[in-house]
Amino acid sequence: MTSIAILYVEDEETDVMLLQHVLTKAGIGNSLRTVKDGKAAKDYLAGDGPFADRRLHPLPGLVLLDLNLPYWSGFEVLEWIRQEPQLRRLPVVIFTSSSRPDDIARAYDAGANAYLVKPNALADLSTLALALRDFWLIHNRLPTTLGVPPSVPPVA
Amino acid sequence: MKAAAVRVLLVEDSFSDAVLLQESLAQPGLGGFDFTHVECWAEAVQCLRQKQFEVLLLDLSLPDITGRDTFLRARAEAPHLPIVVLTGETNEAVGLEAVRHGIQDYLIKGQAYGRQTARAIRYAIERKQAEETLKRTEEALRSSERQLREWNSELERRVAERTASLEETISDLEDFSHSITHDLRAPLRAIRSFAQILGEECLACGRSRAQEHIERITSAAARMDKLIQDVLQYSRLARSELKLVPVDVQGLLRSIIETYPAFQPPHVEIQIEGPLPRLLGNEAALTQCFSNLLGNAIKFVAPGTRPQVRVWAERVGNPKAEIRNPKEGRRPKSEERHEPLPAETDQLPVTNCQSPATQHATRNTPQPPALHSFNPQGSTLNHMVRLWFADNGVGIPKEAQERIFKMFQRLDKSCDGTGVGLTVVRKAVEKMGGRMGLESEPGRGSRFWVELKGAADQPG
Repeated sequence: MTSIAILYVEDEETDVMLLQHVLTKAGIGNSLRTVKDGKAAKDYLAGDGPFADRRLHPLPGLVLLDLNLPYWSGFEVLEWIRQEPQLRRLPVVIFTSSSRPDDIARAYDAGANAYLVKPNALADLSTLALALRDFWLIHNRLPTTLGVPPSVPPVA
Repeated sequence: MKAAAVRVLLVEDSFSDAVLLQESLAQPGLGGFDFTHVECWAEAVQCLRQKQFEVLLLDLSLPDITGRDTFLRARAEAPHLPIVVLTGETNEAVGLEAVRHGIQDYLIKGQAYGRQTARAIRYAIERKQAEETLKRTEEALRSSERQLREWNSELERRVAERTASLEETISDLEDFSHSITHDLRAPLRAIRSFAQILGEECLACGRSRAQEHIERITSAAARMDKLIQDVLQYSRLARSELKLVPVDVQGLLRSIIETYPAFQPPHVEIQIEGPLPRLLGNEAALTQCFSNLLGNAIKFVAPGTRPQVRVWAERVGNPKAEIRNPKEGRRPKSEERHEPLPAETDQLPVTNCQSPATQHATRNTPQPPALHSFNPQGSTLNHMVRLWFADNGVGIPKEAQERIFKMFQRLDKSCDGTGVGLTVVRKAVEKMGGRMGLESEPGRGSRFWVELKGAADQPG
């Protein structure tokens, strides 16, 4: 299994606790880092302010991103990541309660790597945690560097 | 009746010509003319502004103006006054030109003064009046057209405005239902999930009573969640426009039964007394309807009874039967005459399928009417087809039969249900241009029916 940090951007504390619970049961509870809003996500990813220490706040291999966030919406965070040369390859999975077709389309347009709707039952959330672990930490190959050389044109 | 003398303004600088003209028209029998004579255009203008005339006789060569300018100025000065110009023998062409510029007639000076001239003057007056009337009519027409165009554009503007406001309302409603999904369901997700985690922990500690209480919390939250989903589904359905296409209801029913283990033996026995016709409907809405009806049919049975459900189709007797508005209330039974679907021909006599004999035969096992098979070769186009769902459940008393279609109405609180299922079915059926109802008695099961338009039969 790949050892990576997962950054979960979520303002709902209960959702954070629940995901922590099911990821722990799935055996990957240690990898979870959380921030409560879009601005903090940006600071974390940029290693700014309280997140300067990369031993405590390692650069994640995967971002789980809620859409409905205070200050910066999930879309804004995603758009920022995609135009940041040092982060452009970072896999971002949208994790939201919205199943609106508009939101789904917009997320993919902005360069999301997957779109997951928060399950309502704990059992379903557990299944999803296992699927996340299996797909992103076992089967999927992550890029060795998240940054992109300047010659590669940015995503539209 | 003697006509009043015609009031003439004569503009003529030649005194002799003027006298000649006036005298020739003074003859008896010409109707009488009341002349005002001036000798130049300036005087004529003054007169025109002070007095009312019925006609202007205008010499074209005056001391202060001559030629075509004369009649152009006169026409402009008195646009509504009949004008007859007087020309010399050598320049008749000017007279013709004058006529082309809205002058009523021209007279050649010195020729045939008298009766002919009198007639020419009177004709000129008549002609001008007719022209004026025509002009007024045309003007009125143009103004009506203008008004119509204004109203039309006003109407279009209003329609656009209303449409925009409706679209805004719809989008508000959509936002509202989305916010319900998110904001009302999020706390429930937390309640359910943490109660479940707590329950697991209690179980691990062997605290079974606490675990039982937690289970109640979990199931209440689950029920609340289901309620929200059902109401959302209803509101989505109520807003949506259902596209109607021919649906193979038999195939649809079979796939619903195959999808849900709860609809399969050994728990229950659901029999489709086919073949069922193709109906005009919306597959998603029909799936919802059939699942809800089958779910109800197997849910409300007496303890220890194995649910049995039969489904069959029949053609509604009167092909021209109107879709009744459910708000009008139920028709008396006697009017509800249906014809069992034809086995061989479309021309079967109309019979009442709910004859007393059939009703008596219905005990705890649902009995389809004797003739219930559907002939797929028979055309069902433009016919209403009634699908029956008969169960061996507890039945519904007469007085409660209308109430069960209302939202949140549950007759049996011990069964899990939100009281929205039938409300959704009824709304969906109405959206598909159909109607629904039931026949039931306590202890004798229920027979729900859904009536929809038959679709043209599949080719081949």
